[in-house]
Amino acid sequence: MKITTKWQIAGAAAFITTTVLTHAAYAQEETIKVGVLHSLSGTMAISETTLKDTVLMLIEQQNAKGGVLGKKLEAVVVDPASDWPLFAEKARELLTVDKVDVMFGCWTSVSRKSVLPVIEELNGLLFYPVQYEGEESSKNVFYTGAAPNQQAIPATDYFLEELGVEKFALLGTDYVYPRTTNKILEQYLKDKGIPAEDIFVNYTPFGHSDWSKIVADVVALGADGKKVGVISTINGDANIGFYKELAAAGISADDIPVVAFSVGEEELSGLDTTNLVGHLAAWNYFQSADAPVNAEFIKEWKAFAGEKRVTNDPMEATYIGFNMWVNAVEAAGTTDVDAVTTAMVGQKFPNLTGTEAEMLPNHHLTKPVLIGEIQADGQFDIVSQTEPVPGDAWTDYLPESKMLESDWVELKCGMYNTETKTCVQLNSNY
Amino acid sequence: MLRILLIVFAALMSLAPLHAQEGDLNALLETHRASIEKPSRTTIGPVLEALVESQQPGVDVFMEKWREKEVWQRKSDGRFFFVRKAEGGKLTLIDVATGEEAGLADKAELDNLKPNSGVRGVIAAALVQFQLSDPDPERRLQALTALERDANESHLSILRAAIDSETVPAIKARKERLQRLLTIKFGFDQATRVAAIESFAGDPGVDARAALNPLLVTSLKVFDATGVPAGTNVARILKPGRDIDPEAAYQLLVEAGEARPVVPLDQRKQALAANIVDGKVGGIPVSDLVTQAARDRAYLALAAEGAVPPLVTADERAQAVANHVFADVYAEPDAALTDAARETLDAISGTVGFYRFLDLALDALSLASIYFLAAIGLAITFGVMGVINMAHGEFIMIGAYTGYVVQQVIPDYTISTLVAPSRSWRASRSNGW
Repeated sequence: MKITTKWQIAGAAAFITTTVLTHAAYAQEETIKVGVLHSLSGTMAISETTLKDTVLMLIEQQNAKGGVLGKKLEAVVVDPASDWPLFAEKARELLTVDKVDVMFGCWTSVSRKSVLPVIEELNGLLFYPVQYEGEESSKNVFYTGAAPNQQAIPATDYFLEELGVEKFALLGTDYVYPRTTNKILEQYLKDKGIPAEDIFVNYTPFGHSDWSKIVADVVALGADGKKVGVISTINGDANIGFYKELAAAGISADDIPVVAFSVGEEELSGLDTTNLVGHLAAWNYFQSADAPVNAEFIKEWKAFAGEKRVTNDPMEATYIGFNMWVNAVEAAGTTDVDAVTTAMVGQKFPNLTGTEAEMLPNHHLTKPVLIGEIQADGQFDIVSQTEPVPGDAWTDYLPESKMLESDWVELKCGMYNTETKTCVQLNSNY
Repeated sequence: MLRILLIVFAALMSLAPLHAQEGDLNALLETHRASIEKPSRTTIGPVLEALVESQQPGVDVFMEKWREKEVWQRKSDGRFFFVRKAEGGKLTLIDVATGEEAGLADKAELDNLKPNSGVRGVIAAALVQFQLSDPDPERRLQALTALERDANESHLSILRAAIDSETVPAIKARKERLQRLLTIKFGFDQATRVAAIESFAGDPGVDARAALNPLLVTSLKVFDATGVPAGTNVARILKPGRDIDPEAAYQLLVEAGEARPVVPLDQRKQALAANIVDGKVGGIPVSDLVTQAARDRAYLALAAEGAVPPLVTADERAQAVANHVFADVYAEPDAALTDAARETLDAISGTVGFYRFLDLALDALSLASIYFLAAIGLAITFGVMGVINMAHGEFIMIGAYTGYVVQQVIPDYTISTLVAPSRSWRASRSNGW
C-alpha cells in the first residue's frame, strides 16, 4: 500500500516536471535544445548518470558565456532506463516531440545500435562518448570515444613489448563489444606471431560472479614457462569478483598483469582497490593527467557535482564532443543537422591531456593512448602515453573489414570498399 | 640480441669506469639520463648493469627507490632526487648520492619517475644480489619473489652462495626450491641438472612445470634416407600415414628444398590456357580437353617441351616421402635431461590428476550432501507429521541466505559455519515456526 502511494507521488512529480518543462519550452521560443539520452536507472545508471551531469555542467557553462548563436541552450533529459529498445523510443521522442537539435547519449554498443535506425530515419545528430568496437560508421553519429586502434591495439602492443607477455587470456562479458574486440585482437596477435594455442578466449554473462575455475585456468596457462597476460573486456560489476578471485589465488599484477578496457576512475570509486593495485587500464584520458586544462576541468567538475566525484575518459569525450559541436554551430551559423555535420569535420579542440583532438572525415577523433597502473587511491599512474592517433572506423586487422573505409567528406560514404571502389551501404549496418 | 648488446655494453663499460669513479652517483646517472627518464624493459638492462658495476655507494638504494616510484627529477637540470614532504605543499630534495638535503622545490618543478611494471621487474632482478643476504627477512623475500618472476644465469651462483647463511627455515626452504628450479634452467653439469629435475617428481606447483616444459619443446625435422644423425635428441620418429599426413610430409620436404612443389590444379589450367597454339595445347585440340585425363596428357606434353614446370606424380611424391625420415626433435641436445624431464612431468601429471580427482570427489560429496539434506528434511517432516511440507524449499533458502550473509560479516569460514546454523534456526523461529 505504502509502495503504491510512493509510486503515485513519483509519477505525479514526473508528470508535473514534464509539463513544466514543456511549458517552459513554449514560453521561451529562442532556445537551442540539447537532448541527453543517458540511462538514469537500471544497471548502467552508475556510469551514465555521470555523463548526464557532465552535459548539464557544460550547458550551464556555455549559457554563462552567452549561449550559442545568441540563444541559450536548454537540456532535455530523458531516462531510457538501461533498456535497449527504450533507447530507440526515447530518441524518437526527443527528435519528434521535443525537436532537439543535437543529442548526447548512449553507453553500451547495443543501445547505440538500437538508436541508429531512428536517427538515420529522422536525420538526427548523436554524439557517442564511449570507447567501442568499431566496424560501424553513421553519417548522423560522431564517435568521440576510442576506436579499437586507439585503445585495444596499443594496449596489446604494450603487453607484447613492455611487459614481454607471450601468452594471452582474452576474457570478456558476452555481448557485441567484447566479442568484436576480441575477434580483432585474436587476429592481431596471430599476425604478430603468437600461435593460436597461446590465446585463450573466454566469455561470461553480465554480472558473473564465480571466477575460481576461470582464474585457475588462466594460472595453469603459465605451466609451459611463458609469461601470461589478461586482456579484460569484462564489463560492470563482474569485475569485482574477477579481481577478488585473482587476489585470492595469490596472483599479483607482476605475475599476471590484467589490462582492462572498461574499468575507469568512476568504476573504481565504488570498489576496494587493494586487490587491483598495479593492474592496468587503457584509456585516452586519466584524471591524473598532468595538464593545466585538466586541473581546471576537475576543479569545475568538483564544484558542480561534489568534492568526492572523479572524472573519467567518457567525460572527456563528452567534453570534447560538446565543445566541437558548439564551435561547429557557430561556424555554420545554424543548428541544421546537415550544415553542422559538414562544419564538424576538421574541428579542432584541445583535449584534457595537453594535446589537440581533431574530428576526422570518418566522424572519429584523433586521441592519444594512455596506459595507467591502478593505485591504492583509485587513481591511475600513467606509465605510457602516445601522440594522438587517428581513429579508424573499420579495423585493418580483420580480412572482412580491411578494405573498408569511412569518409563522409570526399567519398560521402560510411562503408566504402576500396577494392571494388563502391559504396557498400549509406546507412550504418544495424 | 639483448645478450649481444649486454656484452658490447659491458665491454664499453670496462673502458669507462675511470670516468665513473671520478664522479659520484649523480655523474653516473647523468650519463644514463635519457634511459632512466624513459625506461623500457628491452633497453634498461645495460644501464642497470653499468650502475651495479660502478659499485658506487647508494646504487642499491637508488634502484630500490626507483622501483618504488620514489625518485623525482628536477625539470630545470634533469638531476635525480629523493624527496620528503615539507611544509606548504613543497618537497625537500634529498641528494641521491650523499643523502643530504638539497633545498626545497615546488611539485611543479619536479617530475616523478614512474617505471612500468616490466621495467620494475628488471630492476628487481638486478637488485637481487644486494638483497639476497640482507639482514631484513622481508627484503630477502622480496628478492626471492623477483627471482621467481625473472631470473638469469648470473643469479644461480648468487643464490647458491646465499643459502648456507640463511637462518629462517621457511626462507631457506624457498631458496632451496628456487635454487633447484634455476639449476634446471641454467645449471652447468648434467648430473646436477638431472638431480634437480628428478627432485620435482610429484610436485604439483605451476613453477615446476614452467621450468620443465621448456626442456621438452620439440620441432618437426626432416632427415634423408641415411636416417637421423648420431647425437640428435629425437623425441619420436613419425611414420608417414600414421603419425603424419603424407601430403603434409611432402609439403615439409618442399619447404626444406628437398622436393619440387606440386603444381595446383588451377595453375595447371591457367598454364594450359596460356599455351594454346593454333587451337591445340601440346598437340591435343582444345575441343578434346573435356576430361581431366586429356588435360593431364596435354600438360605432360607441355612439360616435356619444357614450357611449364613438370608435373609431380603421386608415385613420385610417395617415393620422396618414403626416402626421408620425419622426426620430432628436442631443442635440448642432451637426452639424459629430456628423459628425466619427461619422466618427472609424467609423475607430476599423475599427482595433478590425483588432486583433481580428490577435488571433484569433494565437490561431488558436498553437492550430494546438500541434496541429501534437502531430501531427508522433507522425508522426516512427512514421516513424523504425515504432512508434506510445502514450505521446505523456503527453509532451504533461509539457510542458504543466512550462510551467505554470515560469511559476509565473518570472513573466517570455520567460525561462520558455527554461527550460521544458530542464526538460521532463529530466523526460522521468527518466521512462525
